[in-house]
Amino acid sequence: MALPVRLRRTSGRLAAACLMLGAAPAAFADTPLDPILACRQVEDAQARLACFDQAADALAQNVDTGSVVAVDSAEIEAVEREGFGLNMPSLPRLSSLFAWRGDAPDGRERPAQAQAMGPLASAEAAGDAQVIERREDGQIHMIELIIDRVSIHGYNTSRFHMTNGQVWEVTDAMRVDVPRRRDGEVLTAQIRRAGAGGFFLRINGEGRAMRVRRLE
Amino acid sequence: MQAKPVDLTMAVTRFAAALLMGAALTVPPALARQDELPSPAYAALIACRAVQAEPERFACLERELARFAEAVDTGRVVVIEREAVRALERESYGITMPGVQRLTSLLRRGGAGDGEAETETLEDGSQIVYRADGGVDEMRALPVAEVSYDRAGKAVVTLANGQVWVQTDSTSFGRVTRSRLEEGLTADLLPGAMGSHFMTLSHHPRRFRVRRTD
Repeated sequence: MALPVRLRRTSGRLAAACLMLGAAPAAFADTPLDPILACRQVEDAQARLACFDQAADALAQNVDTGSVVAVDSAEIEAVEREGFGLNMPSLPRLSSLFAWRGDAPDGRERPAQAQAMGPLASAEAAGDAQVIERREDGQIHMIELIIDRVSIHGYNTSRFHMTNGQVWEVTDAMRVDVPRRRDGEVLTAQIRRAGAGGFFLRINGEGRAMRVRRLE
Repeated sequence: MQAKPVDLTMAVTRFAAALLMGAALTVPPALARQDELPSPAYAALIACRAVQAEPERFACLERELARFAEAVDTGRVVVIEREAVRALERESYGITMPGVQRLTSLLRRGGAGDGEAETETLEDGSQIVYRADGGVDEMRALPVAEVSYDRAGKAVVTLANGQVWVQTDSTSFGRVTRSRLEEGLTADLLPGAMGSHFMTLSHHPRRFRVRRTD
């Protein structure tokens, strides 16, 4: 079967896989979506329909058996916010979904703001935690939480209790100056990644950066 | 194989009409579940499969795929595999993470109804028991990296997977020595009431209450 196919960078492999009769497209895919996206590269209309049919069936079957799920990116971001600072080794893999994909299956590039701010980072969806900055690999670099109260433990160890339930403890043993709150004013904590798995916190994004770790 | 030119507007109108008139006849039962998925772009794409006439189906697939691809390219829609969700379930065991619970339920909703409890054996030899309604129920034979004791004599168990669990009751069980650890100590974690957890270490049968701290 010789079909006119326009191959384009890495997607060529996938398009070819799609055209192989009897071959399950998913087996060749980097992501479960690659086969169906790659079908768009097939120029011949009949072959493209055949590719669509097969890839759509495979995708639907994967969803029906519960092996994949298509979700709004806000669902993923919710997990990332909850897990920020916790020991969860698979979070980086999850976050990489937001990574810059210059070589997307259809060769299109992702809009710049999508990787800078994180998609759908609406204040509504974010609730009491907001992603401020992502790295190019998709990882959250900085997050902003709302401080509920600050407590002191042991020998002058400060803990920040956030409105979303997270608790962060200051580990560099320095005094914490909490700005006085005026009526109705909200104190925020901007927390960003430091080197070697650490984190820095700045109140309202100003003043000294304190080394912190997440307790809860 | 027929390849007559398709008037897109006509096809769309006819497709919509077909859906309105004979939804019960043409739409497979699985579609009802897919409508509940939080990705309308995906649901619309998959709905095209139900269109019988080839030119209309083709038009539908091309149209909806373009929309779906745009949603994927801009990062609005993502597809996650069950393995990724399960890894999150394991890693968040003992920590309340509503977002993970939501992913679990979304995956289940797409999947074939209520499944059965399932046990998975990981590379490190540990066994993970997943509940029928999703989520981790028990974790067994987890390799232990270190056991230390705090000032109150409570055990602090660091698992090889990085999780740290602290004893919260005063149950006494055999102190873990260096040699016991080197022989290959493992831990079982079981759910208690109200989100609490019990641990049993492989060198002693007595179980004790624990809380995850890291």
